[in-house]
Amino acid sequence: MNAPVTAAPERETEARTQCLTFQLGNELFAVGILNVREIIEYGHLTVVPMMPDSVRGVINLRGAVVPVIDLRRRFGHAPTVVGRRTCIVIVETPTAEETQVVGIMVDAVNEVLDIPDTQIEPPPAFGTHLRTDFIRGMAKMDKGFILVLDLNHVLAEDDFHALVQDSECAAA
Amino acid sequence: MSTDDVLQTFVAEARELLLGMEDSLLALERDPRDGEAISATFRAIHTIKGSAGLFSLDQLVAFAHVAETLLDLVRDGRVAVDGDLIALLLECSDYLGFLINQIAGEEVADAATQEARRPTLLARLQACIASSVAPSASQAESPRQAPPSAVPAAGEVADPVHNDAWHISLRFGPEVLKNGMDPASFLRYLGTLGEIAHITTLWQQMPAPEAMDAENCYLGFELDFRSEASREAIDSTFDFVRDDCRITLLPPRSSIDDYLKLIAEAPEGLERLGEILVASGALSQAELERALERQRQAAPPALGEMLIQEDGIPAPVVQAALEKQAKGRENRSAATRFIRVDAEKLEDLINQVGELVIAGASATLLSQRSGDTALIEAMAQVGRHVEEIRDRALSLRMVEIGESFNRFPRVVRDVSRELGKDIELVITGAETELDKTVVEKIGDPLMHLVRNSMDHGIESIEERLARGKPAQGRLSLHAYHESGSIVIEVADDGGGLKRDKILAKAMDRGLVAPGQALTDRDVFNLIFEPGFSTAEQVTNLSGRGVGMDVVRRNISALRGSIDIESQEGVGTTMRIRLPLTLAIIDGFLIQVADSAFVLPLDLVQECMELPDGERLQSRGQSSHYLDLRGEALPCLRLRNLLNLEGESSQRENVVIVQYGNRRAGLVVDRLLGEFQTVIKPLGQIFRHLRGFSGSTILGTGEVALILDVPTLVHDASGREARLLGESNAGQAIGSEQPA
Amino acid sequence: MAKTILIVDDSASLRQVVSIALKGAGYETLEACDGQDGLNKLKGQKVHLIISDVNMPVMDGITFVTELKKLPEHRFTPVIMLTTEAGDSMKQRGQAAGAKAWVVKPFQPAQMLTAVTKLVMP
Repeated sequence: MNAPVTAAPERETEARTQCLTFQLGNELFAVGILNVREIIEYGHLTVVPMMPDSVRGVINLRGAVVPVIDLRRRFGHAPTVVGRRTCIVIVETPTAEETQVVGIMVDAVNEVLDIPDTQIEPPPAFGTHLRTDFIRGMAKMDKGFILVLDLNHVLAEDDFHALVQDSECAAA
Repeated sequence: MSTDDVLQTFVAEARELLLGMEDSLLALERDPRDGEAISATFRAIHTIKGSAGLFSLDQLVAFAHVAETLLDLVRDGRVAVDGDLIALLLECSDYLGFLINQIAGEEVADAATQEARRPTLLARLQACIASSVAPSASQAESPRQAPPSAVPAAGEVADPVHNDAWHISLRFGPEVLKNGMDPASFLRYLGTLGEIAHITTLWQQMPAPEAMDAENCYLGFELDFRSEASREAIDSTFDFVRDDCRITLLPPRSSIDDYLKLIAEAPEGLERLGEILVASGALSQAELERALERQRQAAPPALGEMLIQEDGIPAPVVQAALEKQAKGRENRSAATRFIRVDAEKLEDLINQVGELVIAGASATLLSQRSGDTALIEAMAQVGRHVEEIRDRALSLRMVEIGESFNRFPRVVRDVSRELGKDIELVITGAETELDKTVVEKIGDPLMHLVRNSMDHGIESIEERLARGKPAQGRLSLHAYHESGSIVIEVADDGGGLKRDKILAKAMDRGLVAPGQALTDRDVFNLIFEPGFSTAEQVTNLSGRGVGMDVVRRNISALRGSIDIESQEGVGTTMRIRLPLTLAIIDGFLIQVADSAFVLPLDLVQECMELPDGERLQSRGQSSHYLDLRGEALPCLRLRNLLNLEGESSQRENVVIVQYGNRRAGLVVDRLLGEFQTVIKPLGQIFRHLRGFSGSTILGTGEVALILDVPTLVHDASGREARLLGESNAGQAIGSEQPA
Repeated sequence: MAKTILIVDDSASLRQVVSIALKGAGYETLEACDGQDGLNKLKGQKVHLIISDVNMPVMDGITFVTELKKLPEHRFTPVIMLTTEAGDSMKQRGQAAGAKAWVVKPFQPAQMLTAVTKLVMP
């Protein structure tokens, strides 16, 4: 991996997770770096009709068609307003059948952090304004709290399924 | 290539053979005297057993061996072919299939049950073998053992000679060379087992030059051989020439009598061979004298047991056998021209061609923007070649649908027995080709439809007779190509669908509003609605926990559609329409608001501008009617249907699509023309999205969605029906054309 | 130069396993899926030994050997026939056709190698 060689022995004594941190509004979030494939600029995307608005559309990622999720909307906030630092983080999550590749829209990407597992605590029962199953834990860092996301739940397809049907009913 | 790869080959091959064997058994059921079917069945088991042995699959070999033994008796006419035998062999085929699945490392759910069948099956096979009639005289044949050795195998050796080496006496028969055997090769092989201490070549049998046949072998050898190898090992050296040759093997310190016998039978004559043996050190002079003395006293030894074995088969028998084999030359000679290609490689190739098509489209776009005529022309030429390559590449993956029809004769046979019905299966159009990936995925839905027809469609024998129908029901599978699609029909001559019953049930379940008038087709299609199949319908055959809605969903997943035609009392036809390929299609590009969409070109019949009057009238509605040369054409306004916002163009257009015998118009903003469409799957997130069958990448690099027209039309009409309820009854979207 | 062996059998897996064993011992191999294919593969090809199954579609092993014996350049090529215990009458016919070397199926690759070396050293 990309981790510096000197980090290796350290990792053996103390488990750490390398994370990519990013911002939605003022809040800091993190996803495991192993899930992240690349980060791309926000560009043209194609709207997919009849999908919930948390699915922003699809993009052409070097020949593959990849859905883009508006993470703010997914978390129940107002849709992301595209700004100068808006990015799409391409993440991979293994599912039963294949590896799912999805882009998540974020307001800004910050940095790659090495978070010791001991510093990741279970999420509080409430107060995060997020479904608890979306959060793997909270890391207390110098800059404040970082919410480490559980991508498998954030991107669970069944949730989008439900939304499809809702919108269908709404249209009907 | 590793042994693992080869094992995969074995698994695939064994499965193919088992399928072929089932076919043969079913043919045999129709005509028990079908000799070719018996041979083919035998050959399948024989080949499986032979190959399995190479992998030390002892379980499989042992079982196949018993089945093979029985089939050999069947082939010889010593066990009669009847229904029980065929049923038994089919069960054996199932069991072998189970073993193969295990070898393939697949999870087998009911492994214990399957395995438990083994002893019963073996016992039944043995019982059949035991019931065989005695062979007729011409077939009598006692198993031949290796020729008895010239020396008593064990025990006290009387009067041993001093020679502590093996003595091997060889006289090659004249035919040896013609049989492809090189005498020297055996001596070389012998050299790998020990040390040849002494060798004498005997050429005395060589005739005078004028009488000599250069193709004959006239040589003999006397060898003294020192080796730690067992008698069997040394003896086996000559396995392949035993029948042509005189071979005598004398172990170290054999009895003088054995040497005497050897000398006595020597074609070279007593004296000559005696001299050789002494010269080679095999015998001492004294031992030779002693032997010759005995020879003079006793009567000549019996030669019989040492005779060369002749092949005593009369020529006519051989001739007959050859003729019979010649008849077996089937049309499979073409098979030798095929090569096996890893499916993944083909997949890669087609993906690459897809990328080439996209890159080509983008290059063409750029060339057109440049306005350089020469460049545009050059790109057009490249485009034509790309199109050609695309078609060729796709055709590589085209296989005959017959592959997925193959298993049905067996299914129909078994299920009709289970149901106590008599059902004949008729297959036509098995040679119709479509994409391998589609063939693989259509198997399950077809199976469901076939079982459903047998279970619910075709009536019991009594019912049929009461209705004046023949007792034997008829189920047909029919495949054919139609405008860029393949159509597969599953038809039965059963009782047909009961319109009233379906309608009643649909209302009961809230699928249809009361009083809503529907065409027959709409009513029949209700059986594909989720939640329609009911518990009372679920039998152990067609039930299995999946309803017809799953069938339709699977077919939709293949970008296909299904339709029903049925007449009460006469029969039902289920018609599946599938695209020929899932990789690349000819598309027609349209624009609605700011979005581009692709329609499969095969569906597009014609395009026209939306007349102004119609335009005003239709605004704001997602569907309406259009007067198309006097025909009321139902139209969908994609802008409203898909909730698209954006600049609307001054002039709207209508694309008239037709699939099966349904027609509809799609109101769009702009027509962008034909487009080679490389189909890209939409992610799993969109799995349940209806109305789109995939996506593609345009020359500009943007993504466009491919419209699933039949589903769009179907859903729109369903929605409208629900909304309108009793009013405006019977006016479902999609006008029907006379077929 | 390595000796070339033609393997004629309708089972691809059998051909492959035998081929792997023979190549491991230093032989070159050719494969054919039936007798007719075998005859085609022999055209213009020097082959030191042939291994052939008896029961094959299109052209069986016995017809194959009979035809082989008519070819001047191949009639002296040794042939190992593959048979099963059940095929005794078949063996007689094969021998009449000139196939004298028989190996009983199923066999282990090592057994086949032994049989081959009796006729042709690598």
